[in-house]
Amino acid sequence: MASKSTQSALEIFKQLPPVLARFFKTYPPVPIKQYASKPTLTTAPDRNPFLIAYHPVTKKAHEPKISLRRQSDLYKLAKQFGLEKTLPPMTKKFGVQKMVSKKSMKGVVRPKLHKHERTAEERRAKREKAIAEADELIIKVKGKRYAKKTAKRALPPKNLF
Amino acid sequence: MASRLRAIVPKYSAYMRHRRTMEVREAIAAKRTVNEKPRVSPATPSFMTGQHVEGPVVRDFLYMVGDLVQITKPGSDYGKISRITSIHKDRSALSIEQVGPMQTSIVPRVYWSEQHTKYVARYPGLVHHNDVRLVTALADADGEFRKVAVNELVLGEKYYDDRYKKRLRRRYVTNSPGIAIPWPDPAEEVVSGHFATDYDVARDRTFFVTSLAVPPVPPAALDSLRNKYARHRKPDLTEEEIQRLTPPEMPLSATKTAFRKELQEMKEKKKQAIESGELAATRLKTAQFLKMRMSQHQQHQEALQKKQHQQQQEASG
Repeated sequence: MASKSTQSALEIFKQLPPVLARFFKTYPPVPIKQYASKPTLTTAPDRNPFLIAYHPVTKKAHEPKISLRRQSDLYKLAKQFGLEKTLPPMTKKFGVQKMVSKKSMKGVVRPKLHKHERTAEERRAKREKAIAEADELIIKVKGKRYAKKTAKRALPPKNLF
Repeated sequence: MASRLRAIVPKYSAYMRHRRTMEVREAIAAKRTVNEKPRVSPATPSFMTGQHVEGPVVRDFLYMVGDLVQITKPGSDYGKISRITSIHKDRSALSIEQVGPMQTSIVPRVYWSEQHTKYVARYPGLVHHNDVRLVTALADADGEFRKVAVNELVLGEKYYDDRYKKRLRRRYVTNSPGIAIPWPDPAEEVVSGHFATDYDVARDRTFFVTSLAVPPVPPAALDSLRNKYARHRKPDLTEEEIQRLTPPEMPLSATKTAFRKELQEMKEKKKQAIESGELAATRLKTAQFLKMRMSQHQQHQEALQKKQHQQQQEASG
């Protein structure tokens, strides 16, 4: 017969949600039992129910005992009671950690833009260069008369008075 | 210049042409119905010409094969006497030797007998049981037997008939229960020839049901019996069923033996943990730990709430 103190202690399993209580019954919390943080053999005593495991004979990977969906269910439930750190180590991340670990998208980091936006600088330089060299081009086509005109334009303006 | 002459032809539309042809057809048909009878080909099956017999099914038949009957239906066969060859209870009718209506039907060449020369075969048709009356021999007052036609018959009590090896009802002349008319002698069994084998024997010797698991129709012949490509046909056996029905290959493979061993070990380990009290101990430990952790969490939460409340009060006051 169990004593009164043990009975009162065991009542915690009735207070917790059944999913969580069942989990902790089969997989004791972390300081009481240690779980591997990397995939082990299926027969290993510290096999992590949240990770895959390899069979010693067939060398095949067995699926995790608890699926990713159930893992997140368990985590969210455990967090309500402050027990999230007592769960075996899992690959899944939650909250801020999840946001930080996320790789931002290529397009967000360096947006592609429209073509006119991408080539704007290049086109501006080309345009300026063309304007600067416009006189020379015209001289080439029209001849000496236009060269005189341009020379005249370069001189300082004559004062009438 | 002479202009070319044109013939004046009424222009009928397609609809008008159709209507005209229909009118002509209807007129011809009306004429035919008045003057002529519809021509019936000799090859027309009798059930299409309305010659076949139909009626309510009679449970207790008054006649048996071998009875002499007289035809009472007015016609060419009226009054003729002949013997019953077969009885069709589902049609409440009889077929009679040589006399009675004839039926026609088309017989394929494969089924022709020796006398057959035409595709159209004629054979004795059925007579309704109300269109005949029984003819039997009854003793006269002088003790002489005379042929008598019985207008109406009634069935009476049951008795065991040794000739037929079953219980039959006696039949009497209506309103004269003293006159019982015996059933005819049953037809003699056809004795097969010296070299022939009986049907039952042949069937027994050539067909063996070995097992319920082995189907009587060979699997290769099934495709010829039913549509192989039927869209809605389910597979004969599901994968699960096949797996369940096929026996394991012996000896078991290394993986399977290892798997079984593993399962056994796991079972034993679990049993050991329960028996040694290890399981109960860890469970108690976990319970205590969880209780402690939860209380800590609750305290932390309460402290946080208090702090928040204080900050709000400071901000407002």
